[in-house]
Amino acid sequence: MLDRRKTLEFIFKAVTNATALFVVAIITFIIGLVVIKGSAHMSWEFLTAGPTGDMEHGGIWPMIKGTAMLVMMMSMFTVPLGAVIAIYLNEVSRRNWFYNAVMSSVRTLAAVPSIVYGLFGLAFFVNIVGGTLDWLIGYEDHVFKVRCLLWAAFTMGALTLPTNVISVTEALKLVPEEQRHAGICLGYTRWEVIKWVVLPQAIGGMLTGLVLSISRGAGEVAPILFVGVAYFVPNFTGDPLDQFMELGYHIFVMATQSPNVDRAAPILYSTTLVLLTLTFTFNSIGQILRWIHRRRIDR
Amino acid sequence: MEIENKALETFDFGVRYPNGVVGCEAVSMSFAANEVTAIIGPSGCGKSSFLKGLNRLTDEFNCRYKGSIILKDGKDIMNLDPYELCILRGDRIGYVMQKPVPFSGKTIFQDVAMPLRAVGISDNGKLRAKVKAAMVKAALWEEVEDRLENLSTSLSGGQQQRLCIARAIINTPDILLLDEPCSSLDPKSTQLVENLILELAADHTVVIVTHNMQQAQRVAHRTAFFYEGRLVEYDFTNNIFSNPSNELTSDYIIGKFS
Amino acid sequence: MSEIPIVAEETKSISSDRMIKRRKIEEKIAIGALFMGGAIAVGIVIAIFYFVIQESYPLISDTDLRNEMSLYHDTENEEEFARNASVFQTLDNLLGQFMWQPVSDQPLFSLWPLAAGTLKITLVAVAEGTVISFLTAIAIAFYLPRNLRYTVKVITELLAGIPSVVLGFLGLIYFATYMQTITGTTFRLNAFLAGTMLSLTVIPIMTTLFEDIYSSYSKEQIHAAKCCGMFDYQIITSLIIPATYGKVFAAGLLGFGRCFGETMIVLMCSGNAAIFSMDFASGARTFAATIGAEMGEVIVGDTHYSVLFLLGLILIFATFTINYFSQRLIRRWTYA
Repeated sequence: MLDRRKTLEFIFKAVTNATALFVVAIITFIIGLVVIKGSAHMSWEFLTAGPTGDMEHGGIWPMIKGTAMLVMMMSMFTVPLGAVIAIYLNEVSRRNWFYNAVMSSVRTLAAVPSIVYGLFGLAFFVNIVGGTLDWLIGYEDHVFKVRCLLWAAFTMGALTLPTNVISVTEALKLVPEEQRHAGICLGYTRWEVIKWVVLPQAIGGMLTGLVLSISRGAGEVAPILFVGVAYFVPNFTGDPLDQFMELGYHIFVMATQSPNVDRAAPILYSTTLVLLTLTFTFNSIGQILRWIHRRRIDR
Repeated sequence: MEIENKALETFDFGVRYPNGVVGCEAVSMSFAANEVTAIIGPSGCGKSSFLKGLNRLTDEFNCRYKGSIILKDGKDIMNLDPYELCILRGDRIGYVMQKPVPFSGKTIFQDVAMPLRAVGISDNGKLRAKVKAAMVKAALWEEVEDRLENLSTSLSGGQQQRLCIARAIINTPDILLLDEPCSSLDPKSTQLVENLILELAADHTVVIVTHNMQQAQRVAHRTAFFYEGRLVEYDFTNNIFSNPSNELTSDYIIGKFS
Repeated sequence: MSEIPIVAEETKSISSDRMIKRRKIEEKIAIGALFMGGAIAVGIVIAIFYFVIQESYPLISDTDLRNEMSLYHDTENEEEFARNASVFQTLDNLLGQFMWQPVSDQPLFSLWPLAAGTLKITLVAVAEGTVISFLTAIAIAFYLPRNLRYTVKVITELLAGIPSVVLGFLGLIYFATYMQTITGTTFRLNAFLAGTMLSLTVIPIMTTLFEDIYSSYSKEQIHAAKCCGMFDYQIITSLIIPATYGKVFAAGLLGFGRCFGETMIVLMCSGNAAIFSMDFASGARTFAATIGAEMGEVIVGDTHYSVLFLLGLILIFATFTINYFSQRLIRRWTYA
């Protein structure tokens, strides 16, 4: 009987440990693959030059610029809004029907598939908001009602909104209740308690949210597929009302529409390496920030 | 103290926690078979650590050990490998914790039968017989025989603790370790459990840690007094409480410290 | 007692009236802005639903579109044709036939091939993802030695930082060939490959969730079980796993919902063949991938356009329902 149990214990332990190590192996392999094959083609020219239009030569600078601009514009929108919502939920609201509505909304937004954000971006930002703006300024031409960087940024902003709300909420929850009480005892109004006691400690959460949403924003392609990204924009000036190029989209198009994928492979791997470095760095920084926060409060 | 019929004997036994804190130190004592031995002392005196060391529950806390604990057949508990340890705990030493710990999501029947599962008994008839026997001995059978399929968490505190006792004795262990079993119970349940302890001594060697001196006087044949991790005095209960030879012991008993 | 004169200071006039007013106004504006933020969140959700519905509603309301959807394009009789263009025509096109051919003389928009594709790919992803995450979480929570435990957790989280485009790309350019040599399928890009790559997005989420659940299991019960003489695997399989079924299932549902909406991996790895079959070794098309693939080329207001929005609507409702039930389950099982 003992032998049977010993064997079962051994098998169980072996299988679970092996699976865990298998997962680690796969991840290492994937990263290794991208790093090795990607660094082969990597060079300073690659990073700073523009593409040549065909799918086999040239650099990726406009894509990097496009991704960076997308992410920057998106953050200007989500980080403050996410913080505002988190502060409302955690500090100001009486737990009434409105609170439930906002809470469920944030949860729903977190669950909406990224492609649906793309539909929303097209239907709402491009058509409605863009259309209204066009109507307001009275142009016949479509100035705002176009698929462009601006609306793509807003769309991404909506996508990453829940991430920011959650990060800031985490930070807010770490502020001890006593500190808020102390603020009240000093005669602060509700807002002043937030402004002077809670917010300074929420900055960390905002930073975490910023970093995590940058990581997500740089990596998601689905929402911008038809809201403004393009494969080849010859003179990409960074005009927000223009179409733009982006790292993830570039990978997608090159991988699926190249006449000769094998010849395009080096560029593909290198582009992937750049994108991966970007998302990894930001994701890791975000996780580290989170960890630091938790440790600080545990003290 | 000389004991003829020893169930368990410790030699210079010590437990040390990973952060350096000493649980107990240099404890050498033997436990008389089929008797109730109480271990008393102020909080932090090491009585719980010592008890947990007796079935090496302290392994879970990554403790280091010194000394040895010898069973009736001469085996040293400190030398057992993890598998033999499981056998030891399943078969020969039962343990009841301070707070009643019913298993989540198990019915009363399944909960009491958990140790049988460890030993590999699966025949339904045998299971039922053993569960019933254990619960009868633990004075729980009459109260719950009609609701064995209810969740074990639906019982009251006192009933849950008796369930834990039933669970501990179901494999008829030689030794039964009780860690302040009544400290979270109401007076009525406490009385029930104390009566139980006296009955259990007929078939098991009972070691009970308690912070309640009156309880030790009520149920124990012999009592050991621990202080700051060491065994200070060990004698028949009557002697300890009426005529302690050590000054520390008498101070504690009078109530100079607690 | 010494004589200490007690003077009632004029504490009320520390700040002038203007200061108080300014603080009041600032307070009102700030709190108002906070409420507005909450309202914006609700607004966005409502807007998403509203606009997706608005753009797909014409399928049943607009007669022109209904005409387009009609399966009787080759009817010679104009009147009969118009009479037949009812809501049922739309439904007939969507549900009554089995082909997805948006670009042709007779546009066919059957939902069935897409549903089949979604089901195939999601099933593979969830099956693989759940099993692997489950075993890995047990290893992390119980079996791995202390130092490895943290490393494995961190590395699994790394997987979450890989964008789905990258996974899709690697699947397409590298793993597809591998899979084909191992399994010998005819099609290089198929549902199974897409499902497998998709499981990589699901594994980090599920592993973290499962591991949280298992690590937080009551230590006292584990000790009590050890005191009963149970081996580790017995404690895990007969005590911990059964006691946490509900939470684990809810976490699994969450992963399932995530798979539903995934677009890029499917676009790149599944072969994009909108066929109605349950063959895992052939191509497939999901709702999300269809939107992604075809939206770029439709005319706004077109039938095709509205159908794609309808797909989006289906996606929203599906993920919303899954998430709702998963939240309910989690709440229920947290009190068990």
